[in-house]
Amino acid sequence: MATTYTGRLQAVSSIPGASENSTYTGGTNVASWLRAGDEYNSAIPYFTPDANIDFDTTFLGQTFNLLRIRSTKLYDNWLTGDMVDAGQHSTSGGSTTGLSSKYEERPTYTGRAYRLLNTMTVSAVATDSTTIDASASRVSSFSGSSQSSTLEGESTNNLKQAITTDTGNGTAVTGGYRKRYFNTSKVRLNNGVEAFRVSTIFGGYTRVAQQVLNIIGSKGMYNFLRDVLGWRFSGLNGTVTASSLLSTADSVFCAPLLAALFKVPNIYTFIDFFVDARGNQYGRVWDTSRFPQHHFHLKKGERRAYTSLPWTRNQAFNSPFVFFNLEAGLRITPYYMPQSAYLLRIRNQLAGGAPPYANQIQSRANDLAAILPGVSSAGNYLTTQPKTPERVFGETAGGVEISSSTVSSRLPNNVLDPFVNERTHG
Amino acid sequence: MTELAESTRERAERLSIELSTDRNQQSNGKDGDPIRGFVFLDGIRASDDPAVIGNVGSRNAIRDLTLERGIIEEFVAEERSEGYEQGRIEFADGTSVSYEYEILAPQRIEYTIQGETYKTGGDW
Repeated sequence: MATTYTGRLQAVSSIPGASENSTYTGGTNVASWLRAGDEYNSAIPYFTPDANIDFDTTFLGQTFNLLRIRSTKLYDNWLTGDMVDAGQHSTSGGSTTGLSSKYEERPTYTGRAYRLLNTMTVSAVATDSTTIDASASRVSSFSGSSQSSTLEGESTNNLKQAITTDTGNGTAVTGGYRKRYFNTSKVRLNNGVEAFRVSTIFGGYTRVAQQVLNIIGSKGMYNFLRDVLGWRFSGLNGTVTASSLLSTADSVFCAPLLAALFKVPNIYTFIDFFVDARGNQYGRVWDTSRFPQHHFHLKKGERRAYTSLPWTRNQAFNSPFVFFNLEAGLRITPYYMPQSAYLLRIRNQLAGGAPPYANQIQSRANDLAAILPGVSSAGNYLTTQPKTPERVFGETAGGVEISSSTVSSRLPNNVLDPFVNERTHG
Repeated sequence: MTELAESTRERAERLSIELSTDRNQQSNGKDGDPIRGFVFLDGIRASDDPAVIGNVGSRNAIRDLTLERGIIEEFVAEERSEGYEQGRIEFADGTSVSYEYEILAPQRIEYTIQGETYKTGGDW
């Protein structure tokens, strides 16, 4: 007599933050601590490089020794977070509940408290308590959704005039979707019980960053900084102009900062999900984007694992955000490199290998921290690098949590290639 | 340039060489303005490690393509087997370029973008 077990795994990725409306005084839809408004209240940091730079060189035959760049803020003044903190996603329902006036700005936009959802529901058919019928088992549904990015509504946002928002959406720009990749198989776990297995990657990105990249591509970096963001350049002499300096990328004081503008990072989760012949569900997270935070729920709906994102209000630097940008810039995420290269990276790390380009990422983060007023350290990339796998978790058919050590001992120590099938969401 | 940190050298993109004559060595024996000239070399790589050159080169190639064509929409693998993959990189403007990725050894990888091959990994 065959038994069908249904399993469900949901990964919720969200940007923590409080109200970004500096004049906000009322409202009851969120906890009171979230309502103390400030334009820089999300876990997205802001950056304000402001520097006198000594150049000890010649360029086009002209000697110069001082360039002053008066910059304006970047990042947190452009976008808002999700009006949540770590506790918000303790159940799967809490993560997807809509918040009216979520961002506490006008015009209001009603959004849900996350950036990206990666959800899968599996029907595993067991012919007895150790055997799975692979031909009858299947993924009954995948769902992937992305919430709109909402532009910061206050005057501190020097980017908003250049960004095209979506009709009828107030200040919001619809989220961008990446393809879902997936593969399934039947596998025998280390305790002898068979399971139906799903390996899948799903991601999204902010189309605001995509628009920024397009503007830089059409106007050039110098015109973008000067005309769109309002940067001012002075102290140059002779034929040396700020634009000629900016064209020699390595001589620019803020090369790491400018490099950060050239990319559109992806928020993603790479999940390995198992439902065995006894109805146990096991989740294993191979890889996630460094930013924002990710919470994982199984069928019962309680949070079984999460990654947290250290943040404070009004933050000028945030290591996970910087590392997230640099990883995208070095093209070591699943959507920016050949599939074989990404798989090789994950398999190397599973075998104990170091993550790629760790030295470069650390060095660039240090460079960036050095040019930001009030920032003392970039944080340590390697020691804060998640292990591979990042998380393992489980629950029984009855919804009782299974310890991560038990789950680890049962799961096969290999990566199932997810790049076999694909699907488009959104 | 060995006195520069590798992280500085790997960001080098252009080499500018200034040439000038010494005004005391003019053929007519008189002082005159020095003759000056400049040579610019684009797309340079500054490292003594071939893997760094390959890694930086492939990243810069992708960055330049991205600025020209918009963000990468997808790596479409047209053929993939153990250690080998070839396909196309699709960009936001609808265009695409070919790529090839061949793993000769775990740290010895040939990554070809639009016909140009970069030696990547760490062991060359």
